[in-house]
Amino acid sequence: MRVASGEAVCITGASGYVGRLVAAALLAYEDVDLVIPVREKYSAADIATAVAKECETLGTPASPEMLRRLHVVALPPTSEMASLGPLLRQHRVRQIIHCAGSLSYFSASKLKEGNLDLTRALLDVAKANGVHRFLYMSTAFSAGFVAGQVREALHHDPPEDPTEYTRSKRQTEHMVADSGLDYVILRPSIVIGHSRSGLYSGRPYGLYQLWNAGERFMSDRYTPVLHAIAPRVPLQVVHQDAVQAAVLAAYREIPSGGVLHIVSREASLPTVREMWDLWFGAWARPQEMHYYDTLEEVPMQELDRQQRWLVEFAAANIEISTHPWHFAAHRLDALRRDGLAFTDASIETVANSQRVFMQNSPRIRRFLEAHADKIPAASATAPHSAGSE
Amino acid sequence: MEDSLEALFWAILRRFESAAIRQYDRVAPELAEAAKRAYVARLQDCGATDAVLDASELAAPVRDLLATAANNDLVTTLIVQGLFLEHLGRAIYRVAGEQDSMSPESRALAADGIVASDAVVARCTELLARTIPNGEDLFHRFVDASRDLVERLDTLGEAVDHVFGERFHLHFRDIMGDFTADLLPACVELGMTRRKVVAHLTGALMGI
Repeated sequence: MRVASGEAVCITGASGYVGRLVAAALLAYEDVDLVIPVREKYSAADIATAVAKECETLGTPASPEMLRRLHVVALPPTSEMASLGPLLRQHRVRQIIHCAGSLSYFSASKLKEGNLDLTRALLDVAKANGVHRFLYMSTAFSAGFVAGQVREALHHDPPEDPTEYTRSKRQTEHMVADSGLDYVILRPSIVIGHSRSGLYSGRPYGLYQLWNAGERFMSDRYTPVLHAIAPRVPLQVVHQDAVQAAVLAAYREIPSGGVLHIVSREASLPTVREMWDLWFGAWARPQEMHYYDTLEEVPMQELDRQQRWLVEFAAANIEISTHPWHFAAHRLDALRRDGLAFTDASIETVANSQRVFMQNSPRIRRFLEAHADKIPAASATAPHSAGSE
Repeated sequence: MEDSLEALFWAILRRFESAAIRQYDRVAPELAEAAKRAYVARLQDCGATDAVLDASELAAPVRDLLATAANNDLVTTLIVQGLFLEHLGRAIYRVAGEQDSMSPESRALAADGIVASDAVVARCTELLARTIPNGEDLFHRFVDASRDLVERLDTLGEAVDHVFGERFHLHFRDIMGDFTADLLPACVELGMTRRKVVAHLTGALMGI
């Protein structure tokens, strides 16, 4: 499914994390020109530097020759997207990998503008300017809260969505599928840093949001007793290098109409409880840890206001992760059988990402220095756990 | 006010409360309650000055937060000023009032700040319920109106921890605990879904 020699691929969203990863992967492993439309506030040099950095993280430093294949152009306002047409024709763009979008959880206006309206405009300009294929970066959670296995197909509306974001991504998937263009839907779960180096250049989404909230609101003092929602369900994370490998494989091999779940094998994944043990054991190190399967089980009336807030906010952070997701992965399995190198996330690889996060957190460093005399030493064992079992 | 840190604390609250009454007078006169006006007048005479605030590291985040709150729309004012910032102010007063490190005068002034806010919050709840009776519709307005505010609040929180944490044990984490303990039931009473409000606040605090 590669474009022919002399033709190009357009990647949207390269000013953001996932788009940048995709651009780096194609730059590093495909001999193809990349057209990168970004909003005017981003300079071509900044984009090139950021993509080059991701190439380095991949282990393939960007040479000047590689960077010459990167064509950063201005992304017009959505209402004027037709003006992108001449550039698509000039560079002979035949495929678009659409990674741009709004990640707002609940802002209906931002989601409409950033997902539905932008995608509709891109599909229109693509159809009018010789683009054959459209790969859409969605999310594994676009199914919403459904029981049973999440199919590698377009979804009907579920009984409930975790957020407006998942609803918006599902609606956009349908829009892409109905566009008349050849399409592939890419559905990664929660993307975290590189499986080996732990490097991560994204904003604090997913697991990083939880870690950010933890360092932000727990590092001001030592808290000897902590409570958390921590069911023993797999934490659906996938490493950025695995996402890059899977997107490359999709670009090369997946036929039109395909839906690819980019997810780690369940057997390999840490559970939410193991993730908490890893996190608390690494720095907050409470003397006592109370775990619960659901928010309803927490004896809120016994907690003070701050504890209640921390529990509820952390629960909201990981609500999507505490649902027992089971993603069909037949296409990914087939790609693996054909040689795809895909590193599944495990407690050991998640620890690499956590280590880098902690190293880059002045708050956590200050906390460990300030409370070294009263907190139990870090050990391989988890903090003492109590609560619902 | 002899203690310079307490003077800074009240300079901040004075600026917030003055901005609130100006916003109410301009856009939502029904919220310009007499008790609130009287409290603002007391803060003007409490000995805190703008110069103290302007010379501190808190000046910029306070200014940014207030600039974000200023608007010309009634519903936005009800949400941002009457609901969000009133509850935030009450949380600050409550947490400050519990600190032994604060002078008795300051603790008493903080307690009066909560009382002055009571009628505003009650009136605001009534007006919001009447203006946007559907909880889901109100939630979407709440998200759009409060998102930038929460981001600015987080920046201010960093500075609050730095300036007041050690001396007064006044931490953003405590204020947020108190704030959400008040705000969440108020949002639920207006028909919003608690889970969604929590998720929105969490996301906005992390800049998402």
